[in-house]
Amino acid sequence: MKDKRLIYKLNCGSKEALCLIYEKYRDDLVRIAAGLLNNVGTAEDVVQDVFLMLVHSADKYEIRTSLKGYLTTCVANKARNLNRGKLSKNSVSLDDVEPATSNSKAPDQCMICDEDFQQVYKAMAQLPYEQKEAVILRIQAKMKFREIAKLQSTSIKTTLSRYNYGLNKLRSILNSEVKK
Amino acid sequence: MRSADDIKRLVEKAKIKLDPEVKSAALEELINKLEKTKQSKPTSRPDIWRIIMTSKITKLAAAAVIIIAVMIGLNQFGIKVDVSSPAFADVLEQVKKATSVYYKENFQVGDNSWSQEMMINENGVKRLILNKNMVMLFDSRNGINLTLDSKAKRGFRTVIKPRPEMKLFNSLDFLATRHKKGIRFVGNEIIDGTETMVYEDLQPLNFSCTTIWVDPETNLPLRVVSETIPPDDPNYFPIKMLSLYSKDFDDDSDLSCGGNLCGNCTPRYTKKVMTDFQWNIDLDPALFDTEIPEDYEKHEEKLSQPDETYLIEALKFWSEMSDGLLPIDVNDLMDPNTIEPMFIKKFKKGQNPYQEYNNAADFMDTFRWGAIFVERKIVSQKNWHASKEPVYFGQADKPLYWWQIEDSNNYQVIYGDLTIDEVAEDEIP
Repeated sequence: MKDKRLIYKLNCGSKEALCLIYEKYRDDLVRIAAGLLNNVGTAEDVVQDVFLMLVHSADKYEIRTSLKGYLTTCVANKARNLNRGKLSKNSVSLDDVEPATSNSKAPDQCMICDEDFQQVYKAMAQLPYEQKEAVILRIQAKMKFREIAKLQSTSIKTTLSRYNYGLNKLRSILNSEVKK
Repeated sequence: MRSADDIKRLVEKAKIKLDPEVKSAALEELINKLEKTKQSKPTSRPDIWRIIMTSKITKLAAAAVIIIAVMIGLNQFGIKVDVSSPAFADVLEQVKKATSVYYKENFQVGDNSWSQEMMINENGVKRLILNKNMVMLFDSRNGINLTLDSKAKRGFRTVIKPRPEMKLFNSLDFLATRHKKGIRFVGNEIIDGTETMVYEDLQPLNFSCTTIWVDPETNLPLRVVSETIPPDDPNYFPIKMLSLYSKDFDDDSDLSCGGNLCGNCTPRYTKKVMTDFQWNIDLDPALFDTEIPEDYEKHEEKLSQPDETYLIEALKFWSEMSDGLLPIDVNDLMDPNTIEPMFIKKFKKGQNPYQEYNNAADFMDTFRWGAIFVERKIVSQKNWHASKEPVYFGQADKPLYWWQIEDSNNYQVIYGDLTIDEVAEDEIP
C-alpha cells in the first residue's frame, strides 16, 4: 500500500494502517536513532515519540516528500535535541562523547554477534555529532545531502565535508582497530 | 586495511537486535493512543467504500464474494514463515510441500451460515463447490475466474490480473502468522480418535483468532477454526453488505449478488470452520479446466477500471430514484439500506422476475464501479468537497463534487447535469 494511502487510512483511524506503517519503518528508524544516540533504549523512546506525534496529528500531516523521509527527519531532529540537552547538562564537548554506560543497552551490546558491526557502532560513537549525523543519515537513511544540509541548517558543502571527515575518521578508527 | 567503500558497506549493513516485546508494547501504546484520538475527533469524514470488486461472476453467489474477501484479506500481507514455534514451522513446511488439498468449509457470517467444499491443486487453482449446481474456479496464476451453473447451463469467465507466483501454499498462507509470536502451542486434543497438537493464532489487532489442530504424524492440519469477533464498541461500524437476492424479484433461482461496503469498520462476527482435510491426493486435472463447456451459455468479460462514466451512471440512477435530487453526502452512496430498495424499485416490474433480477445485478456492478471511483479518486484526495446545498439532476451551473486531481494543481468538478470539467485552483466553486 502506498504511503499516501496509508496516511489517509491512518487519518481515518485505521489500526491496520498504523500497524503497516509501524512494521514498515519502525526498526530502521530505531537503528538510525540508536546510531545517533548510541543508546537503544533512548532510540526506542525517540522513535515512539515520533510515532505518537504521527498518530496524534496524521490529519494535519501532508506528504510533500515521502513518509520515510518525514519520519527520519523527525527522528533526527529529536535525536539532535536530546543530544544538545545532554551536552548542556554535562558540558562535554562533542568530541568527548563516549558510548553510553548506563543500564540501558548501547547498540554494541544489542547487536547480532558480528564483530565488525560492533566495531562500527563503537567507532561511530567517537565521531562528533554532526559528522555522525551526516554519515548515518546519508548511508543508513539514504537521505540526500541537500536534505541533510537543510536538517543541519547548513550548506551542502559543509554537510559534504562533515560526511567525508566522519567517514575518514571512521575508517581510521576501524583500521587502527584492525592493526591492534 | 578497509577501504572507504568497505566502511560505507559496514555502516549500511550494521544492524542491531531489537526486543520484539518492547516493540509490540510500543505498538499497543500507539493503538491505544489512536483509539483515544479517534474518539475525540468529530466523525465528519466520509466512510470509505471498501468494495470487493466483483463482476458478473459474483452475481451468482454472495457467499463467494465473502470467500474472495477473506482470501484477499489473508493474502495481502504475504507469506511469513519465521514463526517462533519450531514445531509450527514444521507444519508450514509440510503445507508448503503439499501437492493438493481438499477440505470442507462452514461459514457463519452475521446471522447467515453456509457450507462449501474446496479443492486446490499444486498450481494454486482453486475449485470451490458452492452447491450441487454451482462451482467456481479461481486460477490466479493465469488470471482467470470461472463460474459454472450446471442447472442453468451458464458459464461466466472473467479475466483478472495474473499472479504467476500463485501456488497451493499461497492459498493457505493464513496458516503462517504475520507476527513472530502470533502462533503458540496450546496443548493436545483428541479429534476423531487422533491426538492432535493444537495451535492458536491470536491477532487482537484484527479481532481474530485462528485455532489449528495438527496431526502429529503428518504435521498437516486436520481442522482449522477462524473466528473474527468485532469489539463491543459503538465507534466501530459493522461491515455493510450490499446484496440483491433473486427472491426479492419473485424469482426462485436462489441467486444472489453483492459485496461489502465498509468505512472505518470492523468485520461482522465471522466464523470459518475447515474440516475433512485430505492432503496430497490425486485430483482429476479436468476438475480444474477453466474453459466453459461447449453446451453452456458463455459469458466472458474483462475486469474494467473504475472511471467517471460509472460515477455518472450511478448518480443518474440515484437521481431517478430520488425525484431528481443528487446525493450531496457521499455517505448516502454507501448505505445499503437506502440503495437496495432503490434497486428493487427500479428493476422489479413483475413481468420476468429472472430477467429483472439479472438486470438489477448487471447494474449493481456499474453502481459499484461508480462507488469505487468515489473512493479511489475523490475522497482519497486531500482536497475534495461536496455541495452544501441541494443539487438536482440537470442543474448545469451547480457543482456537486469537486476534487483536486492527483499530482496536479487543477480540480475536477462534476456539475448537476453530470458533466465533468477540469478547472484551475482559482476557478473552483
